[in-house]
Amino acid sequence: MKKKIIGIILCAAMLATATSAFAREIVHVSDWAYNDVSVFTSEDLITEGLADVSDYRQNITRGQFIELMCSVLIKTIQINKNYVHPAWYNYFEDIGDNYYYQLAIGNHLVNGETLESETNEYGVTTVTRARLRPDEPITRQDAAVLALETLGRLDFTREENYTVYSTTEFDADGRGLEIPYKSKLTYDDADSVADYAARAVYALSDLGLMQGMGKNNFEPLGNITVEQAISLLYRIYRIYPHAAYPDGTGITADTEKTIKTYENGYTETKLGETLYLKKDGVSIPFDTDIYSNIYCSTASDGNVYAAAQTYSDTTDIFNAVTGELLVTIPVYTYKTDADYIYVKAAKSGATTFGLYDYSGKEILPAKYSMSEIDYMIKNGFKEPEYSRRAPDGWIYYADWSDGGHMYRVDSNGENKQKISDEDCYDISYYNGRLYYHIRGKDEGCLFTMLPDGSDVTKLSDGFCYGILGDFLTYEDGSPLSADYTQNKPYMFFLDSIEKDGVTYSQRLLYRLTYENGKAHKELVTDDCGSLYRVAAKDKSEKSWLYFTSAKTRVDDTSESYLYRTDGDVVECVNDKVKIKYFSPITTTDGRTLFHIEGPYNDETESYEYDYVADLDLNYIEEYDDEKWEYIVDGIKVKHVSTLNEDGSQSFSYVPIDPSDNAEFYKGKISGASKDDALSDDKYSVYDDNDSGMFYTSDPEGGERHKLLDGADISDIQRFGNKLYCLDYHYGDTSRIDGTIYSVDMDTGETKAICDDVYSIIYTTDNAILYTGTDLNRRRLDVNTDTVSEVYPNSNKNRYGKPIEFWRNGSTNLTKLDEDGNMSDILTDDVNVNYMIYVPNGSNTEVDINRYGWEPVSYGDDRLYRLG
Amino acid sequence: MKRKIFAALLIAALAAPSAALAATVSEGEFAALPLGTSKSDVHASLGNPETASVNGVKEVYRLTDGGRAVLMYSGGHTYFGFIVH
Repeated sequence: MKKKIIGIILCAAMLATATSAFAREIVHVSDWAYNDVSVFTSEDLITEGLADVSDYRQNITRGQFIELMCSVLIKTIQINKNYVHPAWYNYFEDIGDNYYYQLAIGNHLVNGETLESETNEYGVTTVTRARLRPDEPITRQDAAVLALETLGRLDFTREENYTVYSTTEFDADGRGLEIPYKSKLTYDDADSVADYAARAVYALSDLGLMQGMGKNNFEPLGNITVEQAISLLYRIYRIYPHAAYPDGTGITADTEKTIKTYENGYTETKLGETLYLKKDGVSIPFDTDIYSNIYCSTASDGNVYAAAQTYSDTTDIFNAVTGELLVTIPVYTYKTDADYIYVKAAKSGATTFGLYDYSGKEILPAKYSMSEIDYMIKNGFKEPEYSRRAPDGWIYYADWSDGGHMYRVDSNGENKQKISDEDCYDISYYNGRLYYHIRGKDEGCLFTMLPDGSDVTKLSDGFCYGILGDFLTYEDGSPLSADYTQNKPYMFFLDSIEKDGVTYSQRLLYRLTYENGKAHKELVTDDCGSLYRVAAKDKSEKSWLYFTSAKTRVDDTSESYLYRTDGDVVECVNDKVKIKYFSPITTTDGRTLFHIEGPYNDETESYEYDYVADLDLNYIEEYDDEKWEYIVDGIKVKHVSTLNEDGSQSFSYVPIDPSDNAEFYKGKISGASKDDALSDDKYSVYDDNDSGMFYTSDPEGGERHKLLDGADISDIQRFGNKLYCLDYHYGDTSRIDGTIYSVDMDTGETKAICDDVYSIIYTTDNAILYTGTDLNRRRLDVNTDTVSEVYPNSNKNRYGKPIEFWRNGSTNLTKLDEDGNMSDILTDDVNVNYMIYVPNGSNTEVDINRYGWEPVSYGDDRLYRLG
Repeated sequence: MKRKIFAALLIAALAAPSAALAATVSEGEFAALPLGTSKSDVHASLGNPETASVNGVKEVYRLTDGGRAVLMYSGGHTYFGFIVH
């Protein structure tokens, strides 16, 4: 926990400083663009792609535009590298090592063009190439698409606002229709706008962020210049709620205009590109290419001060009467009063706050102390810094320094209000209400209240799985749990039942409704076991919650009918079919089907039926685990069964696209033991709670010597005097790959050999065979520490050492040699899915009664098969 | 702590002699100025600016063609600059 949070803090700090002013020479700009470009540069938003550009009036390239776009998102902490997976951006052939291109691709900000795929001889189709074309000019319509994506990342087009430019609208009958944005465009050349760009062109024009190019033409295929791009992105950047919107933004002041009047009688005006602070004939100018905001207060000492916020995140403090520059403080100011200058550590997003006095003395640092961080970690409180602004403009957070009480502060960092005295966690905002859990009494129960802290309602009596439970999230990734079927904004949650300290599998399913702003829960069923929500494909259909009865299972472990509810009615799906288990299969064409099993026959030790059914449980096809693709947690996966050496099986899912979901990868695939030991010689090597690999002369408790740091070291192997191990970089959420290290036990020298490891398959006398993050198989020669590609395959199973069997996607179960290449086809019988190979001389025992393993003649070795 | 007089009237009073001493530089001269140059070296090279911000971060030069050029300082050295057309 500690490691993770500090890691996040460091990561945020690194991201915040990832950009710097990369203008390496004096540049030419147009007069109209000067202010935007100057401020954009002061904000450190210029990236290295423009380092060698000396004339910003020239066209910007696609790559340079993407860099600037990422720069804005990095600055606002709306992008991070957590999603990036090298296997994904490796498909792009023209991005090189450019950090921003990788970031944009990894975060799916841009899509590769000219995607190409190929099918290899084993029937595996892979995307082989994609191009970003970073050196080509970017067209206006493509810039609009990326600009709209940037707006989306800044939440501008999300939540309530999202509907403004949604892709679908509803007719009078409630049918969802695709909005024909192209026909909404009023430009004379609207027909020239590409279909994929029509929505973006419409939105950017509607927002006033992009305009026609004269004579009512948008010129979608025209190129944009560097300064046009900067001006566009800076306008977008300003939309994000900074500590303050720059004074006078959007006001064209050909003649002097009043911006605001202060309580002490001073007025702030704007004339041209200059702000003025005025009173009694004194006028103090503040250039808008230096200063973003002015704050003026009459202090307790009788002096009048002006705090002028610069774009370089410092604040100049002036005597507003004499015009003296008194002091510069190195932080961002967001307000002043009679005694203090209120500052914050960063202007974007939620942050930490601090105080200065007018002498420039720091009263309260705008950063966490280590003791505060320790306190936070110890208490597990959410950090304000990572709480997100809700769509209503407030930032909600549990204050770790104040007993976890819930506060809200507006997006300018002002108007902090305590809204709950409870010790709160897991705070969510949906549809105008807050949902949260509390500690202490009613631990784990779900509560809701209005954003101002009123109308507190306890929703669940027992531990609640949360509004955002796996079952109730839209499959399209939308965070809303509300079901808008027939315009009913239903939300559901599950409450658990506890009796005498036992939590029952039977659960209570509630629906939330609201009347006059008051939350009401209505019991849908008191007998909910497994639950799965099938979302309607569009809003003209109903979404249903499918569930089994749990009551009967608790009592007699028998099967249950499948039920479904839309929140209003509960109905039995099929009263002729009882099931033991059901699990969803999302087909690649978007349908949802169920894999059902049941009832279980004790005599035959098998299910009476095991098939794929439609949502009415009608038979579709016998279930073939190898055949069906699944979508689990939104990730397209293959279901993989793994045979252990004792003949038992374990199951896991393998993402088909290796760029998908780091935690899923790690959680489901990494099965290696952490306490692998070398029993030969005098060494014992293990990874315990000390986060590292050690050697010791006495496995029972001798002095340990750390060889390598790492919290998730596994697959330790010894080759001569060198140890090899795999580190999955546990705790580093930016990585889903593993690194194989070698450690020389004599010299202690440690080397990272390869860092693209998905999992180790097996080890031979002189090589480690592993699956790479691109799911291709590789061989690490430990004599030379070189890596080579071997027999390609995307579906690996580990069936003991040193031989592995696998079905290559269509027919054969294959035996591989120690170099990873196919050495024999063991069977082409498609009814045989698993085999265990036991080399002659191995003492591995296979329990043939378990699962019904059938011995097969195979020379001097032993071979078992399972249909 | 450096204290600088910033009253508008004083600015106006200072502006006249400052403008009289201000250099007019060519676009080429200005463009050739390497970023990272210290303020004293800039002045030695280009002469005095037409205007300077009170906090010392910005100086504006008049170009011979009538345009203007802007230098921004950070830590006493040029940080970036623009020739404005």
